[in-house]
Amino acid sequence: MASLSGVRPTKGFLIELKRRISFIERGCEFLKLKRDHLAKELSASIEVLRGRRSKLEDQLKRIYDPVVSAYLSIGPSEVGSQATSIKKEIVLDVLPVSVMGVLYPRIRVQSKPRVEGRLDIALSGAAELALEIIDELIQIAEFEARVERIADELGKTNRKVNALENIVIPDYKRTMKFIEDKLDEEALEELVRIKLIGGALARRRE
Amino acid sequence: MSPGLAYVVVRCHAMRAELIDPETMRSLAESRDMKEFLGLLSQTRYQEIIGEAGERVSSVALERAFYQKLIEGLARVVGVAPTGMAEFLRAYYQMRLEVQNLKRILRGKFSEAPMERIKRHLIPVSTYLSVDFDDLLGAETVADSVNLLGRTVYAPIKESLALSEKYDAIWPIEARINQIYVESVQESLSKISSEDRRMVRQIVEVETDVENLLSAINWRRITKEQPPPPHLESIFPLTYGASLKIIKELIEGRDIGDVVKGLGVPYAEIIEPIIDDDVALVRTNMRRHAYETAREGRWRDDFGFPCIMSYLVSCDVERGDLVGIAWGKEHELESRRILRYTVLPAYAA
Repeated sequence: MASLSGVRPTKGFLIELKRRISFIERGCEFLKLKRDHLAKELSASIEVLRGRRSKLEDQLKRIYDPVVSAYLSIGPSEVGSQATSIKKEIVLDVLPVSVMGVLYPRIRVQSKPRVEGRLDIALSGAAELALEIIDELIQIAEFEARVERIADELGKTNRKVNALENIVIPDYKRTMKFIEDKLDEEALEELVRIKLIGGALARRRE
Repeated sequence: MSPGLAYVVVRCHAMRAELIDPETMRSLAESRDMKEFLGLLSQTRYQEIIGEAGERVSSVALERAFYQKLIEGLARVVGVAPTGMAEFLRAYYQMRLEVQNLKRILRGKFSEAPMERIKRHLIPVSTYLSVDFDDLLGAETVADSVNLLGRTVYAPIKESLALSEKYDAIWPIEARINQIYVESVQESLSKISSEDRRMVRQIVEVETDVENLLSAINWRRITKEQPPPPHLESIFPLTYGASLKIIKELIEGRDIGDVVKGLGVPYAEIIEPIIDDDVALVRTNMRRHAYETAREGRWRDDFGFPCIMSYLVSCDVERGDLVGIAWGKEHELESRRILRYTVLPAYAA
């Protein structure tokens, strides 16, 4: 329980607290909405990601098989050297996009290298396949980053909502109750005092 | 037999004992991991490499060391071989390695790769035909590098520059380099006897034909079975058992299976895995063919040139197998998969 030692039991402070708690409750409602929306977004994204990933893994296996065989058959230095005959490298644009305040990277392929006719037959098929799925690979990477950030934000939002609901708001309510009780007590004391003074004055007049 | 030849034959017989036998090669391929592989390798003639490099050695560093051993073996044989034979061996092996480096430098120049990156992929071989690798590495463009080769045996590469620019690719230059290599080997064959010549031809010509067929299949993929270019002879200047007609049919889209069936011995057997798109196995089969041919030559004459050739082919096959196994172990591949692309373990008892 939070300490109430620094609390000023005044009406003005109580009004201020009431204003604050209504603001906090409104914020908490918004955070709950955000949490629900993020959770919905996350579960939908995970579903999509799962399907696309398994498809991509199958495609990657088809690419890795000939590459591994090439490494085993012609050696790493020849494979490495052949890879250097690819003229341009892949150029990507990475831009930040915001969804419900969650920033995630959006990646656009600016230019792709040309592999046709540049590699030995052992690697050219794999390179062409890799180039075909590069867009999908980048989209999935983008999607994974998005899911990761959403999950992160969802965790943060959940912690905020819990903190507000279970700690901040009850604390404020307790403080308000304390001030109200104190004010009631003071009002009662005042009433008794007035009554006593009124009785004393009446007796003096008699 | 000349005393010079007798000496080199005896040396080859002695050095053969140092080579890794098929049983050991199988054990290396079947080792559990890199640590066990290095442990087994340290019991072979590669002991000093493992000792120098330690246990954290990479497969790329090992590949360099394996090449180094091959080059040392080659130098030992060439150093004691009679003049004519030494000339042939230099043309066949030393030029082969030089050609590989040359192609690697030109690939790097084509893609404007940094010098250090190109250097990483070079075989540690000294120059054979006055090609200065450092000068070539320092050249700005492919054209500059080709110009630097103007006074060497590789001068005809210049003719393929236009084709390279037309297709914006390096393969026309590589094809020309391969042609120069094969022509040089053919030329140096005059230094050895006609019987020995047949054995070398069997290796070199099959290699050239198989590479031609692979290039044709690659070409067919690139051009999506469009009609072949009119200047096919300039792309495939040397053909032997697999004629230009077959290459043309392949490019035009004839069923690969049908073409393979139509090819005679030994082509059909070597190139058969291409039907399942396993190019790596085609290359392994090609190494196996060279090994077999040299072995057969040795059965015919174990006290002459075939013995020397067989020793050098075995050295090269050993290097190729070890490179594949080292890479496979480093990447924790299954032994079954590694064994598929090795030659020597198949000969284990």
